[in-house]
Amino acid sequence: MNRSVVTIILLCGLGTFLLRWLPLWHARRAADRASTRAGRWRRLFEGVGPAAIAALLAVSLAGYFPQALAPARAAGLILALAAVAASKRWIGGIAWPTLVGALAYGVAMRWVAPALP
Amino acid sequence: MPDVIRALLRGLVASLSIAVGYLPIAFSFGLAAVEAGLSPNATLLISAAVFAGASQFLLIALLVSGAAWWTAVPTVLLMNARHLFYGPALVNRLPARTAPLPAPLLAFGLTDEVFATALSKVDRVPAAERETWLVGLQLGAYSAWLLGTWLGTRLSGRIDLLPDFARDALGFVLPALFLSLLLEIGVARWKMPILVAAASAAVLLAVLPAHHALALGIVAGALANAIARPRA
Repeated sequence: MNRSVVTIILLCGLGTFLLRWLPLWHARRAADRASTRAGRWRRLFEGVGPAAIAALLAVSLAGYFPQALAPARAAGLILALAAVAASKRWIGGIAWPTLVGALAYGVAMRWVAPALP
Repeated sequence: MPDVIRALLRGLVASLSIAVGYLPIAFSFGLAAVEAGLSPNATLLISAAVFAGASQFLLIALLVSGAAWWTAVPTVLLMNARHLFYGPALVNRLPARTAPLPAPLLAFGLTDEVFATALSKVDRVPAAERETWLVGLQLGAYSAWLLGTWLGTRLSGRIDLLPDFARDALGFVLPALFLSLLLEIGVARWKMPILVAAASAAVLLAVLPAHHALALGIVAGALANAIARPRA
């Protein structure tokens, strides 16, 4: 391996690690000093989780929208999302609904969407 | 069974949903990197050292184009800047312990998916086991990421052997995972940050790259939660 390639990879790894570690380390020290944060700051950090998942979902679905404009594609997408919601309700957990949703999308794109007008 | 081992195993089991999503993406990364001209060892080093999905694909392009470190490193770090929020958000859920695990151990594997899964499940883990459980969760996700990358480097050029429906299904794993996670944490309870973050990210995608839209969507959703949610 070329030395400059290794250097870039390791610097990217170190930088990404520091982006994750330093805020966690700082927040932990702050939590030690005062066990309860001011309400608004606490709610800000509590909101990061749901906001991150929602933003990740929006961004991951965005790539499908040029295709979803076609009715058959849109039907496949809706079917797959409905399969996730239904299996979440009936089976529960995260792994199964994820698998069922992915398989539903694969099946819908291969066999259902082509059959639609 | 000692509590530490049990908590670690529970974390590993909880990581299965992430592993399902990571294997195909890491596989695609390994495949793309080798086909772009990186050696299998460099490809595995990227997954082992960086462990941050989308930015690794960007790093392939930067390395293959011969970018210098002062161009490549800030570009990758800018893309990963949203990870700054994850540690502080998780610390609230990790109760103070007399002998806490070292922070680097808890932080190394805080990817988008690990963070989202931890947030949705950590409250159901006994307080004293949460840090070890988080290490197990990260370990499972990291192992799946490395395994997927390795498989991608080994099976380069053979992706066409998969049937069409399986390739489509693999491509939809991440949206399915994120929707499952959203349903797991409770849409009704968090509707304000969810609506604001999703709408902001979707609108910003029209004018910004995905990683910037994502980071700004997270900030907008968290701010909405801070401003709008009534005090407990």
